[in-house]
Amino acid sequence: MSKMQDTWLILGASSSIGRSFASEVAKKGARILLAGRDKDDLERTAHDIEIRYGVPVRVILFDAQDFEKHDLFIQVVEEFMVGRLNVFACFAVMPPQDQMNHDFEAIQQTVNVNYLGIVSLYTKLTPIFEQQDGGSIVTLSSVAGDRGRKKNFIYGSTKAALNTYLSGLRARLHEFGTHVMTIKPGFMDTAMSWGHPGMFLVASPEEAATAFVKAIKKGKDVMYFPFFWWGIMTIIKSIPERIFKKMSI
Amino acid sequence: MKWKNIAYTSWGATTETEVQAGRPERVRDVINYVEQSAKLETHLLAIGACKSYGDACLNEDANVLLMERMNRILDFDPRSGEITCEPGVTFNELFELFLDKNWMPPVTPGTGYATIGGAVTNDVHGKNHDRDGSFGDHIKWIELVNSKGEIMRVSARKHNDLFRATIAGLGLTGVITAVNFQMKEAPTNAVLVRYKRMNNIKDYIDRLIKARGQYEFSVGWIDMTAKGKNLGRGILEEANFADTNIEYKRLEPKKIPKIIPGFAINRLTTKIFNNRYYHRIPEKGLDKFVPLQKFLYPLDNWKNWNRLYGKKGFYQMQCVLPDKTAELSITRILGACHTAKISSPLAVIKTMGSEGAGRLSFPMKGVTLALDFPNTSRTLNVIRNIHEIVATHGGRIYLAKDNVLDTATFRKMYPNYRDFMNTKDSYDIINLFSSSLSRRIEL
Repeated sequence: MSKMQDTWLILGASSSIGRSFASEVAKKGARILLAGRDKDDLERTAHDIEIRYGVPVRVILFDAQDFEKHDLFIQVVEEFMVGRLNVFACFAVMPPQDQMNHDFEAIQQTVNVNYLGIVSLYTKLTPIFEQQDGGSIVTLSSVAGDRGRKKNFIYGSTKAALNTYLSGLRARLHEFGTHVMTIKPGFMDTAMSWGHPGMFLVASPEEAATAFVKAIKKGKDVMYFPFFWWGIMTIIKSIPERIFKKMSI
Repeated sequence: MKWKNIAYTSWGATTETEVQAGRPERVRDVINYVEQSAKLETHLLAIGACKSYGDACLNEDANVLLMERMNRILDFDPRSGEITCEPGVTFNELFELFLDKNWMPPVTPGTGYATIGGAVTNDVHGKNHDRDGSFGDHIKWIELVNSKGEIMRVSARKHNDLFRATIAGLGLTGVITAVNFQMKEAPTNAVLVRYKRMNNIKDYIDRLIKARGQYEFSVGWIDMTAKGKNLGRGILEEANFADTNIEYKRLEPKKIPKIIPGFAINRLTTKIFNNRYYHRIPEKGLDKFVPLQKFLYPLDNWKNWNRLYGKKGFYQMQCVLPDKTAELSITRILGACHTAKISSPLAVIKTMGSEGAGRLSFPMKGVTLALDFPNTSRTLNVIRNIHEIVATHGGRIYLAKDNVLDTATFRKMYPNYRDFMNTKDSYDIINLFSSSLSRRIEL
């Protein structure tokens, strides 16, 4: 983040990660646009950030699945942004795999939110990045996208698609100086993971936000968080398929 | 919304409790958790920093909501000092955010780690009680989610009965989601403290009552090991705001290791410590500039200082006694401790100004005494004896610190309990909100 005035658009700002990230960049003086579905809650976060860090904050309603409204959404973003735009997307849904083994509606929702929602929005945001000098597009993906596991493969496949998309977008926007960063978090202490069995070494949203901002400064392309997940996923990816198919992880 | 099995203790750490915990991040989550608990017919209690000593923050075999992520500041007017915040905001945060704008919390308990939610539900008091009353006196309105999952905003004008039952209501009326209150002006970030030796209990209480309200803050420490003509001797601290700011940066607190043996605090070590602590202040007294937070939170320099009492934990007893009976009853309380050969390194005495706004508020005009007791085989008996003395002399035990009180004694001390129960019954028909404490004293 340079001295230039930055605006950060936080997509999925009601989540603890979204809130922590918004606070972290607000500390450094950025203008904040909080986007999500729960307006009352976003207003609460907006006041909190304004009072604590003294930066202007706006709330914009946003529904990833409501593709038709994305044009209008971008218009509002353009109206409120000052200086350079940056994006942090941290929304996703994760219905239980048991449910998605038979419930097409849940599958569709997962694909729509986790993959299409982002692609639709980023496609419409691209012209802004083509015209401005630099800026970051930071997306929270998941280690679940690295390999299709029996326990979580619909969700995982949306994240795999997202990772491939972001890799392409990174190449496409490279010439414009846009920094596209993919974050692959392991376990984080969020509402999504609360009460899930088998969690270990969970990172707090505050620790995560600090690490993300540091990685953005360094211009990282893909980031595992916490870092040791890179090792875990390297091992998991190297297991031959004929063995992996027998594993119930 | 999901639940997670957790085990935790209150500050006294005498018992570990297992519960199913939810952790809401927004009002919607709170409603969801409340509705789930109502459907499951399990008791529910919202908890904050768990700095209360006894079982006020415990909910054995039931559900709790950890309010730590509901910690946003929702509104602040820098001219009037009126603030609205979520219950998980801590006193430390308020000092860090607003002291350099010359505002501080109106009333604060003895630790900055406590939350605003806890301050409301225990109607906490501080070293400025004579002048400023307790926390509830500064609240304009409270927003809470009741047992039907409805959001209610209560104040002296709207649902006054529920408002007065929620202040000092031990979390039994609903889950607080926002509190609006008036901050206090803090002209500087420091106080000029006047330390004075008090020779015995009579002089001590005379001085406390005579000087009542003359200083912004006042608090006294008693040397519990002193006997005979020295019984009740100690150091009184009286403080006013300093004229200018002083350099201050709050340090990260030091941690106390888990391995401290339970006998680290015994009568001998207490005697040595107390003697030095008393003689630290010269006979003619001492004046000193102290950063405000250091003065208000002297023990916060050590995180987990409760570990000093070892694995078995400790009890705290805090009572308040009317001015008229204070000297006699406190002399008897100190005597009871000596007879039982039990001493407390941490013994605090202060005056209180008036009754609190809550139905179950602890304060009354009088003198309050707080004692820590290591958890030994004799401790419970001593505490019961003290309860007896306090009840006989028209006093009260502070529920936020209690682990021991029985229903009959509680009712004698808190004659408004019936009003409280009527209000609770009418808003929480299914008795969803409950705690280990409330079941113990049949609230």
